[in-house]
Amino acid sequence: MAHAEGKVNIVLCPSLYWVKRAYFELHFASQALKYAPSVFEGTLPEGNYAYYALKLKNEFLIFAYDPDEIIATLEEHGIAASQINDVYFAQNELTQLHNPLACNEKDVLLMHNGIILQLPRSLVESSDTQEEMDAPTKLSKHKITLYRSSLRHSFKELTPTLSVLGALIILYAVQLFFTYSEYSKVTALPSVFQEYKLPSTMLQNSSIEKKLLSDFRAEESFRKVSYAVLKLPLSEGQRVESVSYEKDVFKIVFDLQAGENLGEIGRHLEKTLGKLAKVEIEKNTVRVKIL
Amino acid sequence: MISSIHPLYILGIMLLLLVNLIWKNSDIENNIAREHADRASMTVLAKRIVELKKVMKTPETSQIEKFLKTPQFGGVDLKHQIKNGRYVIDAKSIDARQMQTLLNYLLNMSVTVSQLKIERIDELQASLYMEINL
Repeated sequence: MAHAEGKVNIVLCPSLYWVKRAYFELHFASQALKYAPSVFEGTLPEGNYAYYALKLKNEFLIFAYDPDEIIATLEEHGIAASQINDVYFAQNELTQLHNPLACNEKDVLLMHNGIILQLPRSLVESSDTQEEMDAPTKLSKHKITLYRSSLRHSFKELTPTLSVLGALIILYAVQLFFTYSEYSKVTALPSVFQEYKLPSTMLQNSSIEKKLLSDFRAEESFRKVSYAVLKLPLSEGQRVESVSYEKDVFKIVFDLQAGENLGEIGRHLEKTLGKLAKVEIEKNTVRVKIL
Repeated sequence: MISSIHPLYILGIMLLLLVNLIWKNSDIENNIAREHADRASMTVLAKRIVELKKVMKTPETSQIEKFLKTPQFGGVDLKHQIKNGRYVIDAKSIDARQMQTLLNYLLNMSVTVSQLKIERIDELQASLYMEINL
């Protein structure tokens, strides 16, 4: 393995992984992956292994690899983690290997019974050995992600928390979708003022209401005062000469007899109208001002 | 690929996402509540305006004219006309019963009286001048 610059794809030699054939009555590789640790039980040296499963026609290929060891090996060869694009197994990338292929000074790769093996050069005929191989134009889809064992442990520990968080995120995302739909429906409703054929703004309508209310109150006051004025309880011989109204003031002129006064009339009006109007008496005239 | 993303970062990102979702949800829910409250207050205001408009409906002069032409005002010298945007009723001589009928009718309508003048002529008769805003 040589020093590399830029992003590189890594094809792992068999010395960096373990592979076994397994027969399961399963449909998917993901189902087989659950049984991977038991497939390799007792056969692997000590290490923190990760597993990968691949379904062939009637069998599964189960891979075991130690990410820490692979990362350390890559770093030894000057390949930083940030440079690595994708990581593949030689088993899946060298399917067309017919002759032994040199993978370093000492070892060669060889296909035996469909499995890529890494063997010392001394075990194969040197004349057949291919020293270099063209870079594969197309890599398989079977790539792996290397998690440092420390991260994998953390992942394991945090899995329940992450799952709960994931579920909550999905729940809230769904709720957000429905809330947003409801909001869209509410905002799409036609304006209330439009329904009542009123001007479009709150300000305009508040002003209209204020004006109508003020007119209504003025009219109500006028009506109350005018009824009180027109239904004055006159005493015997008391006569009203004229009643006039202009600019919120009623003026009632009496035809007074000698010695007669309008005190009783004034008191009656004050009692009837209360704070609605101000009553003033001047000789034979009563002025009622609507407040 | 070598994953160097620590799961705690993922946890942090997920937490941020969750908080953001909760905040966004509550923000939209608040907006919905505000929209409903606004619509409710707008409905109350609109209904009040409609009610007030109904009550404060400007009287139709034709309605008053029709009333003034009824037989109960037969023989009364009653003039009525629209002058400067006001409806003017002018009766040189009207008896007390007729005046009471007329005033009861007009004051029970939604009218804004700008001017009213009643002057006694004799024991039974009076003159009436009235201006109503149109």
